[in-house]
Amino acid sequence: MTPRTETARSYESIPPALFEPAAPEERASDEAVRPNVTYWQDAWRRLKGNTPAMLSLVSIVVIVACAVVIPIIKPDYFSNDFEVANRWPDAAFWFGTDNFGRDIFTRIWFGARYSLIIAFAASFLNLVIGIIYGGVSGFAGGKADLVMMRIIDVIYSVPQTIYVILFMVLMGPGLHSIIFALAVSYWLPMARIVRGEILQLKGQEFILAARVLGASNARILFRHLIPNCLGQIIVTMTLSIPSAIFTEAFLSFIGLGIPVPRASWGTLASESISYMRIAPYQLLFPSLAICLTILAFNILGDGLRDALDPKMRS
Amino acid sequence: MHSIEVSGLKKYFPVRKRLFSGKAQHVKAVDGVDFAVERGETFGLVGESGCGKTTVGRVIVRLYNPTEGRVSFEGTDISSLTQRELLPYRKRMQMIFQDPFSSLDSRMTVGDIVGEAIDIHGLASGRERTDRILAILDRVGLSKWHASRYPHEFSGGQRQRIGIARALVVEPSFIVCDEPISALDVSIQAQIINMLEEFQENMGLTYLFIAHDLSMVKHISTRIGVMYLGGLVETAGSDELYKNPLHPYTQSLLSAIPIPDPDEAVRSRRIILEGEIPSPIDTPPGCKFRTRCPMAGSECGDENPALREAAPGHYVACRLI
Amino acid sequence: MNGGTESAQGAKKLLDIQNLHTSFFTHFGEVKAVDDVSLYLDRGETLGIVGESGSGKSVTMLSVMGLLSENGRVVSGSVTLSGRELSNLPEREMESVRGNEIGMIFQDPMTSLDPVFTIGHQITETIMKHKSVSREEAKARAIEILSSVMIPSPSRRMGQYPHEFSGGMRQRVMIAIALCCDPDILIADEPTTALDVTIQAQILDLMKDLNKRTGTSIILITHDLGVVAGICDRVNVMYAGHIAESGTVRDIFHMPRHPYTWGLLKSVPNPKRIVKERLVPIKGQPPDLLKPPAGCAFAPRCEYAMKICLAKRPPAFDIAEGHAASCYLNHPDAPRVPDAPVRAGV
Repeated sequence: MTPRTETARSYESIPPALFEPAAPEERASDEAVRPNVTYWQDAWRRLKGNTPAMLSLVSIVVIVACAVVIPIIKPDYFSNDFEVANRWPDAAFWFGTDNFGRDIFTRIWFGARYSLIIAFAASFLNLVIGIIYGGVSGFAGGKADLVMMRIIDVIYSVPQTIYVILFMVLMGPGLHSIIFALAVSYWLPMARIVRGEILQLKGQEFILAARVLGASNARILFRHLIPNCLGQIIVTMTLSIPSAIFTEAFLSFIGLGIPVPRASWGTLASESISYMRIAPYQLLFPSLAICLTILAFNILGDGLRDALDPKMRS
Repeated sequence: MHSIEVSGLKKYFPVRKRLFSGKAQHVKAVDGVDFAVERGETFGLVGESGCGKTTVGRVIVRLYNPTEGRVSFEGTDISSLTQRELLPYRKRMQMIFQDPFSSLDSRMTVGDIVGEAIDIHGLASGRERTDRILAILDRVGLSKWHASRYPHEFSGGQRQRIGIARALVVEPSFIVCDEPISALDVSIQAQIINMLEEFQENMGLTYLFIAHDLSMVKHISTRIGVMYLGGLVETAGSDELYKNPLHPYTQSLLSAIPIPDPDEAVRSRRIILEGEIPSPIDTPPGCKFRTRCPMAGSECGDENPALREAAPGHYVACRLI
Repeated sequence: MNGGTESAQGAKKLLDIQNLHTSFFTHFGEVKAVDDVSLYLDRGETLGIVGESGSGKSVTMLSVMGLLSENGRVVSGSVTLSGRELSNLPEREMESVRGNEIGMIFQDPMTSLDPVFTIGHQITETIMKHKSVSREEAKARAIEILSSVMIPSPSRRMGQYPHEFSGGMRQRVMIAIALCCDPDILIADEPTTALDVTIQAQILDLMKDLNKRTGTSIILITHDLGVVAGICDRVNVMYAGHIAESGTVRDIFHMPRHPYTWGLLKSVPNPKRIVKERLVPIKGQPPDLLKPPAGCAFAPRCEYAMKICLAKRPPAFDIAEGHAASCYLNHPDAPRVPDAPVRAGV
């Protein structure tokens, strides 16, 4: 080593003991100390920081809970009692009664059951069809992808509602037919999103690595590709629920929905139209229920998008 | 004995047809490459981006099917096997990737990433599977409690160790290292290189080491092949190549390496190439390098020169030598 | 090529950074990306800032330029450009500093250019934004600057879009845009990392040539010691937000006095060496800046670490005029290290 250059500066004197070599165990661990958070924990943390999304989530939980519990407590949604017909909201009937004297509060929560079951079931089926179709299309690539995407383009060229109406007319009104009609018409966005994600993930090195290890196509698709687009899938599904609720309400409103005396929110709104002048509350509460639920799912979906988007991760 | 022997290898990728141009065009990513890698040696493959070195590596492990030519692994031609027939070979040839971030599935724990090959080949299960995973993690310098963690909790160097563990867990005899250190910090690069060298000595591994960093390639390789625009222009033992580069492209490539010493950097003579690599779609006839070659003459346009032995074990593809 | 030797005279300093602290505020806590950094740039010199990812080398320069991301903030310290304090300048004036006085180029020339406008448009717009000139004058100036960065047939290239340029050509265009208002300083943040070796050599030659021809001072941020050795006058080595060692390029390569610098020099193979030997890597990983070590940031990885190193952060010890190292081994009472390399690659 070259001799030290003498400089004018003086340094604080240090006791010789401190110039002893440090023992290995004294050195701080050089382990990376990033907290152990999974993708989902991190997403949940970000979602918690988003007040509107959390409020929406709470509202959705409350709505679902009420839809489950209230019909059990007050099971009577169908008996007519003309004594109390068209009552305005009061202590006995919180949301008033309809022209058959049925409690609107009870009917709204029965309606919630139908509306939500339809929305969840249809979205779940969209998810299944969309993931399979989009997954196969993106994964296969090439000509198969080209053909499958042109098929989607063709289906897209006709408004979705027309398909739904067509199916309903063919199959007749009812819970199953609504779910089926929604499921077969609303999976297109899901398929496109899954395809896009897979197309982009397919060329990444971790997929190549799995191939070099000898992983089968099914393994690559289900163990690597789909789990990696789960975030996008959840967002798309959350955002497809409001459109299912809305379409169901619309179908019921034009008389293609759930047959009476059972009722979804759409049916309730449709029935009350004729009494709008004398009993506007009969229209108000079902409409409010539809609006609030759709709003909550939309805000939650946006929040999830922010929380699950990997580009937002820091 | 050869571990890998590549002969007449070509890989063309179709490019989208122009609307009115009629005939389909191809990117000639690899256009006739021959080389062999002896057991236990490290063959370095260098060249600039777009020269086809990564494609060669990927064709060898059959991520791509070759357009023409053959690849034989320990004496068996594997270039025309189906993916199912290839499965037993997947245990014996592995790959280490460039990007420590995209090469690990971020939704899987380190244990599952490393264990995936064990599951695919049914090598072990239960307690034995866990033991094997922990043993290999230990060998690459990670601790056993890392197995339950996710890739994003690790630094680039540690992630590259996970990638190496994934490749080694099946106990291969041949590994394609596709730029394994180019995304890492300088102080970490040496750790990874030393580890690869150690495994080579202990397990008798053969490496195909693909890189653009010539000084590291020189350090790790026994022999080196220099690629330009889909073809090999020179192969030689690594010391011979550095002492006595024959091809004008190799000469300029070597002179362009920044030297970590200010005095030598001033002294060294740099051959700065004019222009850029031509498009691999319509390659010029004749020697592909002649558009940038400082020595090119009219005879270079006639035909693409083949590799020939200029000195024992030293092959060069240039008509002027 | 004369910078550094008379650094004591403040008047010569073009850019002077004193005790800069920059932090990023994340969910997990404060990340001290730049922690007490002081450095300067003399007029006409080329300064290298070497460090690995996370060393704070880019953040230091982004702090100077006022280009930190949303959660980043300069906590304290001062930055003066030709004697003028920059750290509390309003955004509008900062905009004129960027471009007119300091130009900056980044690693990725692909994403730094707007794909929908022609190169000529992007350069003339920049000129007209900073200088009150007519469009014709700006165009003439753009062609002139393009030919000065050695782009062949510049007037034809003016009408082309970024995708028609190769990576090396795009980096030349970026340099042209950074230089079009004759800034005093060009900050180049890993300008050649994304490029191939032969193209890297072209770009480095161009920068060296520009520095000689126009006298523009250059700050070159890089992780590659080889790049620094060939082009810089002085070098600052950064580690974990601190300056580990600073000095002339010969000080750093021939008489390094910080174990981190030794480690960096020993971990790159020297292609001139014929005998094959194992590389000597630096053990371990860089520290997590959320929980930096109490003493010297490098101590946990340092084979020479002493008790004092773990307890206290070392001050910068002056080795010679213009050469300083933040390591207790340089304290007058410290033990000598017998096996420290004094020359790169030896």
